[in-house]
Amino acid sequence: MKVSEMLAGAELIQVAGESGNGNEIKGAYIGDLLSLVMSRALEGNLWITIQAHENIVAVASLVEVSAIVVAEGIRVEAGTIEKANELDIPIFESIAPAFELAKTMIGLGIQ
Amino acid sequence: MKVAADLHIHSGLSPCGHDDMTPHNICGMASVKELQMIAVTDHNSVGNLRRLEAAAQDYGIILLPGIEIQTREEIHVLGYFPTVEAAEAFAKDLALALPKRKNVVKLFGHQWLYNEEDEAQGEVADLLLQSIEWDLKETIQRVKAFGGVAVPAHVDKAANSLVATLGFVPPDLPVATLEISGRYDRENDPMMLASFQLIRSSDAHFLRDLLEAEEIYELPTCSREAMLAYLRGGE
Repeated sequence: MKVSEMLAGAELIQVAGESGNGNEIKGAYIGDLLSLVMSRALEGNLWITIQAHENIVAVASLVEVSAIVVAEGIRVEAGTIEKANELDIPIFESIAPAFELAKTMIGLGIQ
Repeated sequence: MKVAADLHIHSGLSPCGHDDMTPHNICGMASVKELQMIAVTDHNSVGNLRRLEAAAQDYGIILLPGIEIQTREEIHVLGYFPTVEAAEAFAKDLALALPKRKNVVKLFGHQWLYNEEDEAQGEVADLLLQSIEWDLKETIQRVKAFGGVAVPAHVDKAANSLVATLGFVPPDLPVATLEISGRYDRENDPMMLASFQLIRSSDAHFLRDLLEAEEIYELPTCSREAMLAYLRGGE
């Protein structure tokens, strides 16, 4: 499933990286400790987190996740948005907690 | 005696540190600002401490050998040591606890090592901005084992801080001193940190950000030993 298709089925607000909306989503990873995400998330994963610092963009780029969803209504910082646009990494904001987001994504067929 | 110090400065070895943060530039700026003691604390590495020690001597200031460690919980902890050799021995162990992942300069920045002429002579290849395998307690113990003192860094900040990551300062934490950021209101102490000694440093990544002679330590002598004893809580 492409990021754009996932977006159509979930209530998310895109704040950055629209040029990456053609990325293919292969599974998902939920985590907030960036070091753990660096070592455990897989290429193509949709990454759900509550971190919004610009370091998430570097981590996402390193792992090559397909997109980032920032949960719990946490606002993504301006520096993060700027960097994500540079590196074509889609970032979405959601007011839902990670568990609700996981249910939504599973409902859309992301396994 | 009164000693003006800035105990949290990054050299160009830290990927986030500016390329102007060479040993002589840092010590020169510290001297202009009339600091008597500085600590350069790069992320998970001590690779520039020998050059910094020499540069500090040139400018007549004291370098307290230091490092900024990122624990498994992503908490930043400053480690201060009596000698560069002790810091290097500690860092040798730490290197084994650092995940083997290469730095990507485009994403994180350069990790410069400098020569006597302040020229970048090479880079640390492994990414330093990572959490090591040791947790907070083990990190503090290991710093102590090398004769050092551990000071949790910028505990009031929203990222990579003890309070942000663990929610509050564990009451049994075996440290006497905490570092607070420039924004923390020491007088009103909103996070109730007063049972610890609070120190403030710059966390400078740019030359202009070094502290002025504004954080004053009352020490018996202007020496590494006296500062370490102070940070230990005067044991």
